[in-house]
Amino acid sequence: MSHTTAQPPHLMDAGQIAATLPLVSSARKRLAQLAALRAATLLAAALMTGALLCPASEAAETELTFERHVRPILKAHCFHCHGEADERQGGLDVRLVRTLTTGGDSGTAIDRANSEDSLLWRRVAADEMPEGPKKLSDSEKAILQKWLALGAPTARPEPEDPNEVRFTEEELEHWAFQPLRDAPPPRPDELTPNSDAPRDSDALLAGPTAIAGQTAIDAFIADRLTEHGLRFSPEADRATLLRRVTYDLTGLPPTPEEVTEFLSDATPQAWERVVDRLLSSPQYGVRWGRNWLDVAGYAESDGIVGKDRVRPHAWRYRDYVIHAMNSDKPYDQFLTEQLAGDEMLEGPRDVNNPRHVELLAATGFLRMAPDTTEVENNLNERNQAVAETIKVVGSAVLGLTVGCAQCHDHRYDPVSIEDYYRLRAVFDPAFPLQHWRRPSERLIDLTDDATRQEIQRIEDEAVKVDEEIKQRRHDHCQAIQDREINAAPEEIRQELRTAIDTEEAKRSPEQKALLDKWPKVRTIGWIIGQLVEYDQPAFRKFEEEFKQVEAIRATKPLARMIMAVDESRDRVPQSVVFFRGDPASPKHPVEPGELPILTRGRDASLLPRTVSDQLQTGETHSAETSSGEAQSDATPSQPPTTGRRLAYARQLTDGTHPLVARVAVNRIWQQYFGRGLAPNTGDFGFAGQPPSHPELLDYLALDFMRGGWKMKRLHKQIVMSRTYRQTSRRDGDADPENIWLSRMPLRRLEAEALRDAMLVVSGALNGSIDGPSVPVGEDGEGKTVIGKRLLRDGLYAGIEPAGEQEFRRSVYISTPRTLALDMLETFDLPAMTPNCTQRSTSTVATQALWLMNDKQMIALSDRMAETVWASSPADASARIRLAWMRAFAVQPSASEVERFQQFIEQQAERFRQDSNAEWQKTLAETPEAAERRALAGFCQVLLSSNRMLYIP
Amino acid sequence: MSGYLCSRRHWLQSSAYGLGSLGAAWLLARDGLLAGESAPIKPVLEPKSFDLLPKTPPRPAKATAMISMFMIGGPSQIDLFDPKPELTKRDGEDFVGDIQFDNAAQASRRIMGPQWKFRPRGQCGMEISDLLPHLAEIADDITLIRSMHSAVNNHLPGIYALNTGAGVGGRAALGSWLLHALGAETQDLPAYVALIHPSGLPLIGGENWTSGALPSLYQGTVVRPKEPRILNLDPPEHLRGAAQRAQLDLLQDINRAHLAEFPGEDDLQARIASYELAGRMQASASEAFDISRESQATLQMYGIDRDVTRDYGTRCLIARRLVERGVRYVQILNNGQSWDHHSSIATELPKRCEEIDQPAAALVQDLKQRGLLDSTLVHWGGEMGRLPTIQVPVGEGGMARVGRDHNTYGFSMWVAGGGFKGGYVHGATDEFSHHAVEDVVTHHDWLATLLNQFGLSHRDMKFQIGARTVSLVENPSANVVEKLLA
Repeated sequence: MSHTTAQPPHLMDAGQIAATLPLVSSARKRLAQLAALRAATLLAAALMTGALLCPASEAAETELTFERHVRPILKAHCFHCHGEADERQGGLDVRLVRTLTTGGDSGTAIDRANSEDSLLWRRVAADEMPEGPKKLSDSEKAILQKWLALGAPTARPEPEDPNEVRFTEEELEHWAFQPLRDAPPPRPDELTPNSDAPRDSDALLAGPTAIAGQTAIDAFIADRLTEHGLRFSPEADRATLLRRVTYDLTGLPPTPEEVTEFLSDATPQAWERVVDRLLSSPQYGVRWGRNWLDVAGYAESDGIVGKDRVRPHAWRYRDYVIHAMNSDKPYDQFLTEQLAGDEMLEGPRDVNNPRHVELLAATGFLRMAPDTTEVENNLNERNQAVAETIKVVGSAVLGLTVGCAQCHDHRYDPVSIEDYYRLRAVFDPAFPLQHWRRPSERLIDLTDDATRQEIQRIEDEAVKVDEEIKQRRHDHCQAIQDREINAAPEEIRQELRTAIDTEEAKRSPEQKALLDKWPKVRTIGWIIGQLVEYDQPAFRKFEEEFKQVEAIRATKPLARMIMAVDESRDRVPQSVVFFRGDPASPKHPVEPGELPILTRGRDASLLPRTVSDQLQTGETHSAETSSGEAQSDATPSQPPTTGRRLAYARQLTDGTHPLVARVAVNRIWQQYFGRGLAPNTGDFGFAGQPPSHPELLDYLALDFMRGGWKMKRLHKQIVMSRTYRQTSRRDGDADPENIWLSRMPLRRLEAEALRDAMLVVSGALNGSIDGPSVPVGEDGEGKTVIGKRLLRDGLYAGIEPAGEQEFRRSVYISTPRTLALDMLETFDLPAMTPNCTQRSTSTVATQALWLMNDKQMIALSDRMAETVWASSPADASARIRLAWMRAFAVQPSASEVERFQQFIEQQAERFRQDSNAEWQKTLAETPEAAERRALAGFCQVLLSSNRMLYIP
Repeated sequence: MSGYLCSRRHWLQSSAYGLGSLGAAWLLARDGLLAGESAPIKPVLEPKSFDLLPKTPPRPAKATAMISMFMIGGPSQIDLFDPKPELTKRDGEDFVGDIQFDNAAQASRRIMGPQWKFRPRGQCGMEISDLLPHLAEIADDITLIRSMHSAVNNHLPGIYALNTGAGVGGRAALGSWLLHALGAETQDLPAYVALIHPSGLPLIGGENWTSGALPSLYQGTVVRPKEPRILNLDPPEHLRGAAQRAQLDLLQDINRAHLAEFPGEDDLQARIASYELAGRMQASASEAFDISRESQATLQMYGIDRDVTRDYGTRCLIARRLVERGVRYVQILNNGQSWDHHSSIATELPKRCEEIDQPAAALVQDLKQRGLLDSTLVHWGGEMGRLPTIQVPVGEGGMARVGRDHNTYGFSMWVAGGGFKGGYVHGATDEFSHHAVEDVVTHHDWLATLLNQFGLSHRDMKFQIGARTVSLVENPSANVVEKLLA
C-alpha cells in the first residue's frame, strides 16, 4: 500500500501502521468500484478554499502532487466537460496526468520543459477556461502554476483507466477510516512547555487540589501546546473547580454545604473524593443520560406537524438510559442492548424477568426517530421512518452521515448507495415495509404478573365501591319514585306503578295518558339521570362518592408498555437497493453488512441472512408486492429473529472498529471542552474537520475499550486532568478559539442545566428520578408550560398544575417534538430532527425577556427568597451571603454585600410606596413583605446573571 | 445531514470557512502549505467590544435596510419570470443537448413549456406570468434578474450560497454581516429579524440566521410565527417601571464585574447587550408587532383579510413596520422547502404563488407610498430555479404529477428599491431557460452588489478571528453588477 509523500511525520506513522495491515486486495478492488467520482466534491471545494489561505509562494515546493492538490481543483472545474462526460470536449481528459500529457485535439496540455507554455496553464491563466462565469481563483491558479513548474508530479503511478479511480487513495486514507493508533502518551521529559512558568508546576504539585501530576491526557495536550508556543493556564480556584465539576457530572450546582466541605478538605485526595462522590450520585445518570438522549433523538411524539401524536411510553427508554449511566453499563453492552436487546433474550419473552424488560426497553433506541405512519401509513412514510432511524444510528454510533447515501453515492465520503442499503439490511427485518405496524400497534405490553394482579385487584375494588355507591343511589332514587307515586291519590298509585314499571314501548294508551298526567313519576333510570333536578344535595353527595372510585383506580400501577423492536423471523424482507432512494423502485438485492470502508483490515464476514434459496438465485422482487418479502426459512429450533442486529452490534464492539470508540469518547470530550477532539461529533467523514489531537483521540478510544468501555472511568480521567482543571480566563489572543486547550472554555449552561440549576438554587428542586413524564401544555398566552392543558367544551380552560412534579429535573418534563417547554426552547433546546449530536447556544433578547418577566421565573425568585429568608429571618446580610453562595458557590465580598443590602433597602422602600390596594393590605398585615419582595428581586437578579448562566 | 437543526455554533464558530474547507486548511497546514500558520499572532488580549450602534458606511449608502423574501425550494422561473417562446413551441418534444439533471432517476428530456401565459406588464413591458398578477402591477418598480447562476446544487448548499456567500455551512448570514458593519438605527428592537412560517421552520432551521464566526451579538432573532410574536414583553405588575429598571441596573453591574474577570468573552458582552435590548423592547416591541394599529385599507392591501394570504401578508406587514422602526434586516422564510416542485407543479405552484403574490407586491407598494422604498432593498427569490424539462415522479400516476427538477445554472429573482433600477430586466438565459448566458449574475456578484448598495465593499468587509480573516464574499472574481443600479 502506498501513501503520499506529502505526509508530515505524525501522519506518516498512521499511514505506516495502516500499511502493515493485511488489506484484502479484492476488498480494495471492490471499494474502488463502489462509488461515483463526485463523492469527493467537498474535498475539492475544501481544498479550493484552503487554497485561498495559501499563496503558492508559501508552499513547500516538493510536496505538491496531482492527486492531493491539483486533481481536486480540476475535478471541481474541469472534469465535467473534460473527463466524466462520454464525449470529452476537445478530446481532452484531465482526470489523469497521463491523459493530460497525451492531450486532446490541440495537442498535449502539459509542457514539462516550459511549464508556462503548457496549454493547460495558458487557457486557465487567460481565464479562457473554464467557460462560464466561474474561473479559477488566484490561489488555485498559483497552485496549478507551481505544480506545473515542478514537472507535474504525481503521488504514485496512475491507473490505466481513469474510470477506475472512483475513490482516490486520499479518500480511502481519510483519518477516520484508519485503525486506531496505539501510541503511548508523549514522554514527560519531552514536555517542558513551561520552563519559565514555575507557577504552573507549583500549583500542580503543591496546590491543595494537586493530584498525581500530569495525566496521559495532559501529556498529549501539553505536546500540542508546546508545538504552538502555548502553555497551560493556571489551575482554577477551588470554588470554581467544584462548581464546574458538579455541573459537568450532575448538571446541578453544588450546595453551600458541599462547597464548605470541599474548601475545608486540605488532603491531597479532596478532589478525587469529590469526583467519586459525584460519579456515584444518581443525578450523574440524569445528566449524562440526557447527553445520550440527544444522540438517540429522544422525543415524546411522532413528529407530525399539525397533529403531533404523543408517545406516552417513551419514558421507559429514557429511564433505561439513565439507569444504564448510573450503573456504569459498559458502552459496548449499552450499545449492543439498544441495537439488539430483543435478540439477546434468553428463552421466550418473560414479562416477569427484569432483564428481559430491560433489554426490550433498550431497543427503544430504534424507535425514537420521527415516524408519521400513524397518520399516513404509506410506503413513502414508512421508508422515511426507517431512513431516519438509519440516520440516527449513523450519526450516533458511526459518527457518519450515512443517510446522505440513501439516494445516491455519498457526495463526500467513500460510501456508495449499495453500502447504505447493506447497512440498512441489518435493520430491515425489524422494519418490514410490507408488514408495517403503526407506532401505536407496536407497543409491547410487558406488565409483570404481580403488577397485572395488582391492577386487577384494584379494579375489582373500584368496581365493588362503584357498585355499592350505585346501589345506594338506586335506592335513593327508588325512594324518590315512591315519593312521587305517593303524591298521587291512593286509588291510582298501583296503576301508576304498573305503568311506570312497564317498558315504554309496551305501555297502553291509557298508561301513557296516566303518566302524562303525573309527569314527575318517572323510571328509576330517568330519575338517576335527572337527580340533580330531583334532589341536588344528594346528586352532589353521590358525585363526591364516585370520586372515590376514580381515586382507587388512580392507585393502579402503570401497565408496562414498551416501545420496542419486535422482529419476526416470519417476515424478513428481501433487502434491496432503492433506486434513487425510492422505495417504489427496488433494484438489486444486497446482503447485510457494515460499510466496507469500515471493515478494511478487519474481519468483514457477512452478517447472518435470512433469505430463501429462491431469492439467492438472483430473482428480483418488487418491494411493492408482498413477494418482496422473503419466505422465512425459520424452523422451530431457530431463534425468533435473524440475529443480524446482534451480530452487527458485536462487530461494532469487537475492539477493532475504527469509529465506534472514537465517536463515543469524542462526544464525551465535547461536553467538557465545548468542542470535540474531532470537532464534528456527528460527522467524522470528509465534511467534518479532522481532529486537533488525533493521537489523544486514539489513545482515549483504545484506553476506553481496554478499560472495559466504562464511561465513568473516562469521565474521571478527564476531570482529574490538569487540562480540565485550568482556569477559563483568557490570557492573550494566541489561541482565540481554544483549539489547543490552553485554558478551559467558558460555557453557557444548557437549557436543562439552567432550569435545573434554578430549581436547586431556589430550593424548589424535586430530585426524584424515573417515571412518566410531567405533561406540558399550551397556556392561554400561547406559552408552553408545565401542566396539562384543560379543555371545556373544546375550549381552553386553563392548565392543571402539576404540583411538586413541576419542579422535577428537565429530563423528566415531557418533550413532544412540536411542544417544547417554553423555557427550554428559549434557551436552545435542540430540535430532534431526527437527533442532535452537537448542541448550540444562542444569546438573544428573548432569553433576557424570559428571565426578566416570565411567571415561572418570578415564582422561582420568590421561592428562593423564601428559602433564604427562612434560614436567616433576622439577618439581612446573612440572607444576601446565602443567596450568593447558593447561586455561585462562593462568598460575596463585604463591599458587594453592602451594595446589595442598599439595593434591597431601596427596592423595599419603593415597594412600600406601591399604592396597589391589595398590596397595601398585605403590607399592613406583614410589614416585612416589602423587604421580602425586594429580596426576591435580588434573587431574580442572581438567577439571571451571567455568573449563573456561564460555567467558568 | 443529521441534526443540522440543532445547529452547532460552537464548531461553526471555529470553522469560518465552513464544513469541509477547514478540513482542507488543516490538510494544507499539515503539508506545510498553509500560510496562516506562520501569520503573526497578536501577543496580548486586546479588549474586544461589539455593539449594534449605527455606523457610517465607508461610502454613501443607497439602502439602509433590507427585506428578503426568501423562497426556499426554488421557484420555477420558467413558469413565473422567464418567458421562452421556444419552450412553448417545443412543448412535448425532446430536449436536444446537455441538460444538468439533479434527479437522474426521474429525469426526462421532454420539454414542458410554461403552463401559464406571460404578458407584458407596466410601462416597461416586462413579461411576467399570470400566476403573479399583483407583481405584474408593480413591474415598473422592480428589477427582474433573469440570469442568476450559482451552480451550487441542492438546497442546503444553495441556501448557504445565496445567504452566506459559499455553499457550505457555518458561515455568517448576510444579515449578520450588515449588523456587524452597520449596526442598526434601532436600539429598541432586534436589528436582524427572521419571520418564520407557522407550519414550521425553513430548511436548515436556525442556520438561516446564524452569525457563523461573527460574534453572537449579530445573530438573527427569530420571531414566533403566531401571536404573541414575542413572549414575556410585559413585566409583572409589581416590577413595572423603576423597580425593574433598578433590578436591571444591578444585574448589569454584576454582569460587568463578571466580564472584567473574563475579558475577551464576547458571549458575555452579547448577553449584557441582550438585556439592554430586552429592556427597551418591552417598551417598543408590542407596538412594533401590533398590526391592529394599521388601517383597514392597509390590511386589505396585504391580503390580511383573506385566509390564503393572511399569514404571509401579516409577515410582510410586520417586516415593513420593523424596517420603519430602524431594523436593519428582515428575512421572511417559508416552511421546509415548499417551492421545491419536483412533482405536481401544475397544482402546487399556483398555491404557493397565491399565498405570496399579493402580500409581496403590497409590501413594495406600501414602502413606496411611505417614501421608504428608496432606502429599503426588497428582495424576492430562492436558491435556485427549475429545468425546462419535466420530471416524472416514480410510482403510480407519475405522468399526471410531473414537476421540474433543480436548475442552478439559470434562474430568476427580483429586487426593488435600495437604488436598484425600476422596470428593468437584467440578463437572459439561453432559449430554454437552462443556463444564464447574458449578463450572468452569480451569488457572489449578487451579494457584492447588495453590500455596495449599503455603502460597503465586499473586498474590504472582513472579520478577524485570531490569525484568520473571514468575509462574506470570498470569491475574487465577484463584481458589483453596475447595470442593475439606478
